[in-house]
Amino acid sequence: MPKIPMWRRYARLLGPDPAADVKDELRFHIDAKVDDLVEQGWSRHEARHEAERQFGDIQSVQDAGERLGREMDRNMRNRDFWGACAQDFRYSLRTLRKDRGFAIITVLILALGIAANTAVFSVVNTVLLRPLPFPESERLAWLASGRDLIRKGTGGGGDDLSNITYTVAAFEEFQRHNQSFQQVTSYNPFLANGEFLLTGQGEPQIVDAVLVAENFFPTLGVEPMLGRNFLPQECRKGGTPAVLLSHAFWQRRFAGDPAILGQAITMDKQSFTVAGVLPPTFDFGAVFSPGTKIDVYVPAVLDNMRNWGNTLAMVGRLKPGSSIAQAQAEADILFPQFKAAHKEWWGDYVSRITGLKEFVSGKLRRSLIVLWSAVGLILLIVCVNLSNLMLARAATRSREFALRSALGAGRGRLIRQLLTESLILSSAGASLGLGLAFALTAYLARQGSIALPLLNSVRVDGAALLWTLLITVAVTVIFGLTPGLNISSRNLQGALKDSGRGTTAGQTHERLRATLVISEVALSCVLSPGDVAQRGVYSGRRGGRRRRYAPAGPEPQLGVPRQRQGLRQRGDSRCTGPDRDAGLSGSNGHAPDGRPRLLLAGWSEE
Amino acid sequence: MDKTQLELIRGTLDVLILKALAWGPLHGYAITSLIRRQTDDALLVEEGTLYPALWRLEKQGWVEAEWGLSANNRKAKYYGLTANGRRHLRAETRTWEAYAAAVGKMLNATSPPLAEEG
Repeated sequence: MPKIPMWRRYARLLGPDPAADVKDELRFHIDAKVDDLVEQGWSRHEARHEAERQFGDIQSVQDAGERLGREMDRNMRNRDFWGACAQDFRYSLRTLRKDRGFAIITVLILALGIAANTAVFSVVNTVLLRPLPFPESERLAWLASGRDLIRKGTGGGGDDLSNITYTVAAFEEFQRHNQSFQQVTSYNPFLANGEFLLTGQGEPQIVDAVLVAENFFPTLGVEPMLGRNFLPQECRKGGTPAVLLSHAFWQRRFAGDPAILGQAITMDKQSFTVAGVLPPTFDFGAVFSPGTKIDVYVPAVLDNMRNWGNTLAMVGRLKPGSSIAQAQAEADILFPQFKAAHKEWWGDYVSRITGLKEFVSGKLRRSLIVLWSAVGLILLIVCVNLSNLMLARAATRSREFALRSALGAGRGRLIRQLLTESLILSSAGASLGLGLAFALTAYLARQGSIALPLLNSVRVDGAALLWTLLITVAVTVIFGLTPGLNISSRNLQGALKDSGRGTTAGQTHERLRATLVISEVALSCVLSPGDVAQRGVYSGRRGGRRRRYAPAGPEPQLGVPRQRQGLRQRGDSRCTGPDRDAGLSGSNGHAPDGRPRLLLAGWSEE
Repeated sequence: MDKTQLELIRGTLDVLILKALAWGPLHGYAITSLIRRQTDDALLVEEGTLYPALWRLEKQGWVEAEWGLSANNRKAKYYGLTANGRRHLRAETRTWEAYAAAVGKMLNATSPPLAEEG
């Protein structure tokens, strides 16, 4: 076969052109045939005609050729690409094995950074992004009574229970007259009212109960796992007292025995019939009162509570099609009417209606976002540090890179090599980090005493995995590219001439490093105040539950000042109007013990 | 073109092309004429099937193509066997021979086979 002439080498300068190739090839075929026919004595014109006739449908052959050519071209490029990738991969593994200390430290640092990010994202996802664990939870709304107080700044913020609760009369009026809600229900958020001494089988035990209205569970859409909901006669004054058990308590106290249904248990010397057991997915504390565990649910006998003052927190399920704004507009009309009709009411109960989700996580929104950004910044610091490490390494490897580019490796190829290295490192870091994050979230989900709502359902789910993937890619690019750009722009000759030892870093090198250090310091400066602010979220741990282990008297010792902080601090709920309470409970940003309250976090439990 | 000309059984064309390339790289036109001359004009390979077959072989990696100059100084695409193609040709030749021998035995038989024992 004759050699290809020089000019042919430039024919593909603008990239491969399968279509032109096919056309050329077929034209050659026709020409060759014409030559043969002319030799046999045909006239050139007839010969061409005959050759084309013999060929048949030249266009379809050409189309097929172009299709195949494009395919082959693509395959070849893919093969080249993956071949180069595999090469880079093997080479990276080899260099990293040589530099084991660097590799291990990098992977560990990355694992910590990524674990923190994934774990925090899981919390953010659970608290802020995922809907509440109730059917059609977007229709659940929360009513807070003290809108005027909050607006005037005299109230102690949204967490002051007496400022958000209603009297029984207000609840009943609203329930009766509103048009926006399918159902309105309530519970007694003063959880200290619901401590009972369980006697009877086994050790006497304090159980935490919450008083809920008859339609509480149906409104939320929660069905008892065993047994039934409360009956009307169990919620009337003088009716037969009943109780629903939480799943955890049922397991713990009654060893998950279904025979407990219909039996009576004795709490505070009073007999309650066990009506049912709630499903394990329902955790009252996680949604309504983070950091607390509720053992049993007792029907609120409204007639008994009529004179207790503001004792009911209202939750409603909107009718399909009606919005929060409509409900709000209606409430703005209704409550002043009620107030006009009932001269004896303390407050006007002008209400603010929000989505239940917003009530649960709204107070945490800002601090979680700050926390989220903070771990993001930590990851940035990690990246900056690793870039620096890579840079230091690159300085010692500059000869290697200079040699490679002298041998024909393009700038792109060198950067790809560095990116491959950082990809290997960050993937290893991410897998380790994911493991850590799994452990961390599993641990967090079991910490019932941390005052974060929905904590029990925190887990690393698909969204969190996606997030991890995203930050891994980002990390790879950031810390692989910084030194990469630097290396590839360096003076090749200079690097080659430098003896391998003691290569002096060029000016650009110094500048890049200085930039990295400066940005790192800047990031840390941002982080440290953010860190202080964050402690609010995690300081929600209660210092052990101080229980009232005195034998129960004929009455639960309601209204006795308790050691507990936070929600239960203001436990004297029977006689608190919004106006009275505002003065009592340290609404100026300080808890009664003079400690500054971390308002950012929303709750101020010790 | 004659109707009497042999129709190529599908798959046979591939092995014929590979065989044609066994002596060295050729361009498409040379392949048709080589097959025609080698078989004393019994097998005529149509252009409409030859080129797609060639490209298919190229895609499978049994032949590889390169541009070169033909005898009368035109640029032409030359196809050559790859190592894989050579191996494939050997395997296909064996299969084809076994097949032809079996068909031949059947068609040339003059008497039915002996009854099987047992």
